[in-house]
Amino acid sequence: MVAGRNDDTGRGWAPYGLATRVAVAEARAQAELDTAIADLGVVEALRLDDRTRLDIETMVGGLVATIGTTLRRHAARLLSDRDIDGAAVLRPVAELMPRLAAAGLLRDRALVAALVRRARHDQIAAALPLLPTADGTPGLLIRLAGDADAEVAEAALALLGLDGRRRDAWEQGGAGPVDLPVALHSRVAWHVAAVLRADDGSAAVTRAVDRALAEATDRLLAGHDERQTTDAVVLRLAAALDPRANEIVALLVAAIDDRRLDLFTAMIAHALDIGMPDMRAIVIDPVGDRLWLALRALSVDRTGLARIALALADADRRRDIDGFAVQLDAIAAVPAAEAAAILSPLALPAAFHAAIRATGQRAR
Amino acid sequence: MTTLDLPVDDLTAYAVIDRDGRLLSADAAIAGLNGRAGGVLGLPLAVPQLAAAVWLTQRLGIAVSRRLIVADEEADVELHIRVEPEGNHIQLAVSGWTMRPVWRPTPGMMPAHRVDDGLAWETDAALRFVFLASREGADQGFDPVTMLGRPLTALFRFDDGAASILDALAGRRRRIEQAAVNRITGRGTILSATLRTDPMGGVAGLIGTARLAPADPPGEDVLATAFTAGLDRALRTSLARIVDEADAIGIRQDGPIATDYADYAGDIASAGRHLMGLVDDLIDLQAIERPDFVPAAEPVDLADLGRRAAGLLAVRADHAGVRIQRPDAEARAPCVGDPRRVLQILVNLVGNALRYSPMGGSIAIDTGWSGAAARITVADRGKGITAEDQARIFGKFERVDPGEAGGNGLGLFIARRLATAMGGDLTVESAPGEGARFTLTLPARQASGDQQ
Repeated sequence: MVAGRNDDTGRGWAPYGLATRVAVAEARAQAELDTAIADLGVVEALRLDDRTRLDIETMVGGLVATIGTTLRRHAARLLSDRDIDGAAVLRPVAELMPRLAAAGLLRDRALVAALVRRARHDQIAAALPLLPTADGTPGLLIRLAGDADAEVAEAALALLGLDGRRRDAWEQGGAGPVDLPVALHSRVAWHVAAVLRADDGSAAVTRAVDRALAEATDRLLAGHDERQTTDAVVLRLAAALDPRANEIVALLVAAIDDRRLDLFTAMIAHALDIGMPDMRAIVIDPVGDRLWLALRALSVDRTGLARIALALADADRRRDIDGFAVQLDAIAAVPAAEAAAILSPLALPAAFHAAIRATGQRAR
Repeated sequence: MTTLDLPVDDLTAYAVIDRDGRLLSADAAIAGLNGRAGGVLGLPLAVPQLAAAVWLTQRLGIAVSRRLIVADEEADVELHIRVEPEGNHIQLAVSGWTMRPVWRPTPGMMPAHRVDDGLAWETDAALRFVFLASREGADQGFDPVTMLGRPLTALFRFDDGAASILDALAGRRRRIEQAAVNRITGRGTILSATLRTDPMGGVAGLIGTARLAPADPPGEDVLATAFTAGLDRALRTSLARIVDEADAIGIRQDGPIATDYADYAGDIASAGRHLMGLVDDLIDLQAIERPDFVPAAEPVDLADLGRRAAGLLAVRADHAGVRIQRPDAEARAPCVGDPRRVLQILVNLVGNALRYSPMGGSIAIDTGWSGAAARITVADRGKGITAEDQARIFGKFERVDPGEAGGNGLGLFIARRLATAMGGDLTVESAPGEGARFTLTLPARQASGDQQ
């Protein structure tokens, strides 16, 4: 619905259509007011910044366009077997995003959480300071790509490739591809299929279109290989590395120095048995309390904490490095066992942890 | 002479601060900056951004490097700082010292090497690919991923040697244009790249693109129009990066490097600033030589602009150990001109005077009347200019001493051109060994009450 324009032009001004006309106008005015109230109610400090908003729009736009193009092409091929012109009965890809937005796709909590996490994570990774390595030593990930352990080398190489694609997209001005968990990916794909169907054909055509779209979507989802997503690849690398307690601090600092934030996040997630989405949320949180606890749980010392915090603050202006500096001694003194215990609920199944939070029961 | 970016040549200044944040000792430039902000030795730093960085270093216990813009009287100064704990003290190193007037917009971050087509690539210090992306579709003939971690020479062959790349690795240049052959496609390729340096001054790798070698070299007319078509901006952007990175190396932003290398970085930064000044001057020259060039005609006060020019050059004067006598606070010399252009002329005159003043010397700026015109005179006590040279120095690309560092022979030409365009003039009086007096005159304003 566009403010100031009545979309429902077909009914004219005949007496029988006037009530509908008024009802539509009232609904539009209400929607406008609701939006104004929602906008005014946003806490300024928590408002999405323009950069993140743009990145998310680019990511979700790219995702919808990719899925839409694939589904449209496959469905059109299936329809042509029945002598139906796919181009005529399937919506153009450019029209999909506005319809999905109007249908509330971007009000899906889990989807928005995944998009925000990815956008912020990428922003911080791109802004991490370029730090030197010891004489001629390649960066951490290149070193790992040449590791004697084939499992480590394979995963490091795969991550290099993914990082490259993400960097490439970033440098061309767009946000990188977004990897969604299977459930979310499937939800988005079915939504895209739903808005592809233009419901103005005959009943027979509509049935054929629906069957074609269902088949195309099934095929798309079957081809979605979760093992190739960034999270899967980077966790595979972290698992292959499986650093000992005395190795992990150096590796975490080396990952930050090599500007491989995904690997940094995955190593903590693996070591503490926390899910990658939760760990990402912790790493991007400008209030770093949970990250400091996670690092303390891995016995990261005062200097390591300071280096990681300074690099993250340099890359993310929202962080309060001064506040951190004041608390650093106290943070460094937190016993590793206590830090691990307080974060342990995050190691529970995500749904269980969410349920504990929702029912207001505190972890003990 | 658009010397509104006013660098202080090669200056890395140091200061030592105690654990309580008190300034124990400081080189002249830091002491001057701190002093103008109201600070003195023995008390905490008075420049808030410096004090904050020192405090952060002390609390974190690790080195902190920052690029800062601090206010210094009428100007903003851009600084690179590195603050490092050293035993019981904290050492502060400050370089950059680029003055920018507040009205100039700060350029945004530019991608290191933005490309729209061709093969984008990046290597680490050992020239192993860390990033490869094809922008030409699939016709590169290979999957970029298979090359990651492999050396540059696995993909490119250098039949005529790799002089450009070797020069870059040896630190002799930062921009690379290198002919190569793509081993997979067998096609001739031009590699364009930039050297990436880490803040310690080491080679961090190369970042660039590979494009098919063109069949014919571009014609001459391309170059003729290129300057106006954005070459100036391209040059400024690259030079600004070179200067920034050289400054970062110069202050040993992330750890110790040999003094020689820090000095080389200083030389690079200084040469880069010189080139930026030249680009600015050429753009300026192009503007003022157009037949339709008309400077603004607004009421200005030469005395006020003289004081502002002196303020803009205060850091540089501190560094050179030269005192600038500003016009009295009550002095007025109202006239008509373009305030920015007049300030540009004065900054050039005072800058020249600083360059030729001996350590411990002084420069006098005074205002008055010359017939119906307001005048401002900048006088130094340098080596002076012979009568023969006085006739030359206002010519294009003319310099008193071509062997002397700094300056490009355009400043005075542009200054006089601007002065005459505003209805005034720029003259010099001098004798060898007795310094030089440059006088700018501009038409007086019709306001009798406030004359000096």
